[in-house]
Amino acid sequence: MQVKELYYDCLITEEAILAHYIHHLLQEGKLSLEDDIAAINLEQANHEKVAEMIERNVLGIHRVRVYSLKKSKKCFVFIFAYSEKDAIHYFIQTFRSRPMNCIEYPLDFEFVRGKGTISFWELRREYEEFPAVAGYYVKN
Amino acid sequence: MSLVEKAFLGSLMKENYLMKDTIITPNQLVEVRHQQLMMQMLELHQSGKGVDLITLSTLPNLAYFGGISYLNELLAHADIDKFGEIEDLILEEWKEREKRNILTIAAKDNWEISKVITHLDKINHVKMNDHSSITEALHRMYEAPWIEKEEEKIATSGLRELDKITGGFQNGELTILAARPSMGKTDVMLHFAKEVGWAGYLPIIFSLEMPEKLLTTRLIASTGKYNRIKLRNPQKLLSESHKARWASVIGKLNETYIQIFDQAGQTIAQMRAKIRKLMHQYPNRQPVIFIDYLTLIRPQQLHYVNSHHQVSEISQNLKTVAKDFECPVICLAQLNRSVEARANKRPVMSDIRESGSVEQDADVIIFLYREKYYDKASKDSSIEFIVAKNRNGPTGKIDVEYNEYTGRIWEETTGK
Repeated sequence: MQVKELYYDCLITEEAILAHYIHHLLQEGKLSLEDDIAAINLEQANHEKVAEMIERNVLGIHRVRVYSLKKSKKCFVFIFAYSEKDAIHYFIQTFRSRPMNCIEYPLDFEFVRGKGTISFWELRREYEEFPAVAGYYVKN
Repeated sequence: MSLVEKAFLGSLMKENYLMKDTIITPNQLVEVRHQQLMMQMLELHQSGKGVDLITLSTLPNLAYFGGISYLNELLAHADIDKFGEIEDLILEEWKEREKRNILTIAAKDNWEISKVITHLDKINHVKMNDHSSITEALHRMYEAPWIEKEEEKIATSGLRELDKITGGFQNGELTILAARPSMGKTDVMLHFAKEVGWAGYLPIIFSLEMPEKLLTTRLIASTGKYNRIKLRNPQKLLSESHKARWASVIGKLNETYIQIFDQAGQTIAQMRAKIRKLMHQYPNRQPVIFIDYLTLIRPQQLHYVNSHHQVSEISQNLKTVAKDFECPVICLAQLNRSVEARANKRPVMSDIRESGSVEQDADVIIFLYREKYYDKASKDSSIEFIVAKNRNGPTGKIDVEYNEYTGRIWEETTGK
């Protein structure tokens, strides 16, 4: 696997930390896109600089996560949001009550919709603005 | 936020060649951010760099464009098949905005009517490149009688007699090749494809019926004069002398540059996207498009009730493909069973299934007829090409030799 592919994957899946590291190493000329990924040596990076880059979010990665918020004993609400705080805030605004808990779900989580399966990743693409309600789940 | 613009920019990122193709200019987009992004992309493209997430991540003002997350979102909206429609939508919206803008200013400043009209006309001219005045046209013709005509490259059918009638496959023309099932349509199509390939064109075959593997076997059989049955197990059934020729046959076929797409139920829009992509891959070769066969093309909208509408929509679209890409389109078609009921089984135009619109839209209609198809005892192995319609030339018929075992087609005079 080449660095290029890994970097591309990072950008697509919004792995902010690794993406910034590779970005930094590429900028410093310590790595080229055609190298094998074995050549990546994170020790070569200037960690403070990368930390600052991540802080400033140079690559502009705003990862939307999905949270499951418990509404009642049997009802759960899935919300797309940038952070847990956002999700809870949005929940309170929408349902006028506090969630019983709030747990982050993996975006790769797949479930059945209509005749096919869909993951939160794909579902997220259908939304324009965040936070947003992704769906409900009612326990039997 | 405009979804169309997102889809547009996403498509540009996904398939860079569209950047050369598009008629949209950055200032026709609504959002300033999108305008700037498109300008950056064009700049990158012009300097010979690929435009993808990686190169865009090096932009200094990435945050302004919304960062990688936003670019990711654009990519998610990309739709290459519908690129033509996306462009049209953007253009329509832009025209609408310009119109309102002009009318507001005109009302405010009290413009004269003629001024308003000229300004409005200008918007409409954006997509108008089909105009040529008679003066210009005559200018090109002025010296014609004294200039030695350069030999024009024609997309030959490989059959001289047929070329004499049709002049080869002409750009922008739709040719319909119709016959009863197993008359030899696909073999004839493959013959044409090989010949135009050797003549320096780019044959693109959309085989909605047969999978690619079968077509390849047929191509090898007809080129190498192998019996098709033997190719089911070449290792066992081919003789040593056959095997000795194998490599050279493959080499010769490879020179045709035939491109095969064998996905079933493709729509015209999907085909357009594929053709456009190939045209950029082989800029020096002009495409010639073959489609096997007409009624298998999936219409854009499903008219469940009336198959006549379906066929007329498809045949019109095929004609526009030929005109837009300026290349020949050859489409196979089935005949209905009424042929069989007649004493003379040579097909006529009305025999094409759902024929009305096909008859109108096609520039050339060729029927195939084999004596042996009906009379198994007949020794006549020839196949008859009946040119029933020819918009720019005579009609007529020619006989060529056909070997039904190998699928090879050749003219008597050209030798074996």
